[in-house]
Amino acid sequence: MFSTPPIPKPVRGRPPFFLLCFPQKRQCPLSSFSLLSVNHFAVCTVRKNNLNPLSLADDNRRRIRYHSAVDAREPKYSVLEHTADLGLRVRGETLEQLFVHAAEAMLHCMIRVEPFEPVKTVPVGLDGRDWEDLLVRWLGEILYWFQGEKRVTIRARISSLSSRRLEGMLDTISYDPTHQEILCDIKAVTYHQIAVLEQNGVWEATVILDV
Amino acid sequence: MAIPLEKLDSCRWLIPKKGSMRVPGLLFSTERLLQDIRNDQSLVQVCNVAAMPGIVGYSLAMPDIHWGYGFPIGGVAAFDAEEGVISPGGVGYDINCGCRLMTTSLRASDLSGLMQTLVTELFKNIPTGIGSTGSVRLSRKDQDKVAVEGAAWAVKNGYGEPGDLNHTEDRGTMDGADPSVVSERARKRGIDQLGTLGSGNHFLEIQVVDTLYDAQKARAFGLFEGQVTVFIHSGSRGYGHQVCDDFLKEMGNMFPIDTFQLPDRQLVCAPLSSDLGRRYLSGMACAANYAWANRQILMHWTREVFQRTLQVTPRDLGMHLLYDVCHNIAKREQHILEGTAMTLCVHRKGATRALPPKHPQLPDTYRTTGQPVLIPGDMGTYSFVLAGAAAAMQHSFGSSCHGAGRVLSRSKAIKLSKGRSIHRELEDKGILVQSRGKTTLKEEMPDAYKDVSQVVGAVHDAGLATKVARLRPLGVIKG
Repeated sequence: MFSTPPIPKPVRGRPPFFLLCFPQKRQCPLSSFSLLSVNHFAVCTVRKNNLNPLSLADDNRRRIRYHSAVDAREPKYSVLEHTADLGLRVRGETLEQLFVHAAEAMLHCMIRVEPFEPVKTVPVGLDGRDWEDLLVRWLGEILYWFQGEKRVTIRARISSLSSRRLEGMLDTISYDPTHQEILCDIKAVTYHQIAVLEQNGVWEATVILDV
Repeated sequence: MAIPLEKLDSCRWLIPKKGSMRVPGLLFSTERLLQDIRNDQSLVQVCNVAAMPGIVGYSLAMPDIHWGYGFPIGGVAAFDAEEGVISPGGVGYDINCGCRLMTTSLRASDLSGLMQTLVTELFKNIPTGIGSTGSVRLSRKDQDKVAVEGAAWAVKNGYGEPGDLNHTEDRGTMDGADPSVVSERARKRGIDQLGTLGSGNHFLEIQVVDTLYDAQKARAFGLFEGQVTVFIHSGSRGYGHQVCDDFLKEMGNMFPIDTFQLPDRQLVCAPLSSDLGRRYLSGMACAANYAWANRQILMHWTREVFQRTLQVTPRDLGMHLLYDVCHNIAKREQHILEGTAMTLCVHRKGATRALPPKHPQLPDTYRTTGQPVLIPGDMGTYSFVLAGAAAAMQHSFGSSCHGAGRVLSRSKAIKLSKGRSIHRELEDKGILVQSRGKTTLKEEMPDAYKDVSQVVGAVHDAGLATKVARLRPLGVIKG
């Protein structure tokens, strides 16, 4: 998943960007764009003009509202207030979707990415004690690939998920500071107030990240 | 949830034992600071820590306390060495995050017209920022030596003087480090980060001694009014973070969640007497030593930049280490509890050791004064030097605060900074800043922190440490 550049204020009745769907990732011929990947769809946005940066929470909520191919109206995550760290509340219709959304949320807050370069796919297999433990390990894995291996995840996929085991794939590209901007230095995924709950048919997770 | 507090005196508040708490909580704070403290969940965390197995005395909270994860930031807790536990969350991810203060022979007037150049040169030569890598190339064998020897390795390899170790907590080397317990992932994260400042609230600051509160102790510390000092705040970088993360996961796997309910999963722990507990302590020592080596190297480069930029000899510069303290650590220490001498494992998460005069662990230079306690403020306000006092051993397991403590979340700080140029506001105060991250200055703006003067005042009034000097910032570099 890529973070998007600052977007124009929404104009009533008309989204301020073009939506293009590619079955596979390729170099987009348009200049000045960024890519958001949701499950197996690629959604391109074109930056219309430059704006002053928004606050972190506002900016990310607006990006999700306009860029989610899953549900354009319902934000996938929101930022929680925490004195020293970063809190996220993430939603999904299924647990698999929740875990993917959590990965996207963390990456969305962490890094702004310009495409592309050869993608390296990393298999992930994790054991955990319960959903919460698995979620922390899943996000921690993505974070390690960035912090330790200098590889940015651009798409996170879950192939199998139970309360004790997760298997998935991370599509990653090399970290390149000339084309990628770190928005927030996320150093660890904590267990503090970690929660994975189902409410009214929607799965919701709370996770606090050490910054 | 409002936590009830009973006022003991003007700067101590008791949280009575209730529910699953095994000991009461004790908060060091003024009434004014309490208003900020009550705005987040830090006091709930003090109560949660009080429920941990083997905790003795009190679950302590320093005046700079704020909401952390598991333990509050500014929390201190001691556990019986035989029956208690060790908790990686009680140390923190940034193991041995700490600071050091260097004195010089220079006066602020000696830097007239040169401050901008000096700050720029420091910014160019001290690796800062997210993902920054240093120029220290470590082989795997060297990395293990750093993990075992700490600051001593740095000095042996030409980064500083042997005398620097005398004024470093534990002489910059924690015993018991065993690199074999450190994972490949931690090694990988740390292999190219030695000699880097980091990001966020880490900084290197040029200061001037603004006020002396205790002339005798100031003289013993080598401080004089108008003197140029340098403050460095940094830690164990990705190496320490990964060590903490690895052991949190391993302890999480082993923790008997069926028989013992943790109020917060980040408080996961292992008995000090267990193999897992001992391995964590060994890994923690490796990361602590990495951090000391890191700060030693940063100091060495700072010396070089000053000498080159100001065209002075080392002798004329006279940059000496006043002291280096850690504020995220766990240590085996001897304390008297209710008249009985005990060996305890003291966890300090965002808290500084504060040994009183005559303590046997002090270097000779500070036996009469007590240990220097270094309290950095935010980048727009003062930092302080204090000296450890007797009441710290009686009331706080020889501990003091570590900084100003945050009051605003990062997102709130960014919102508050809209339309403002923090860079210019600091310049208007005579403080030159260079930072790498676009949002660093906004997130770390002075309004995001408590008033450090009040925090230090509370520590002084509680008798934990006494004020010696106040330092005003002149130039700062941040990641």
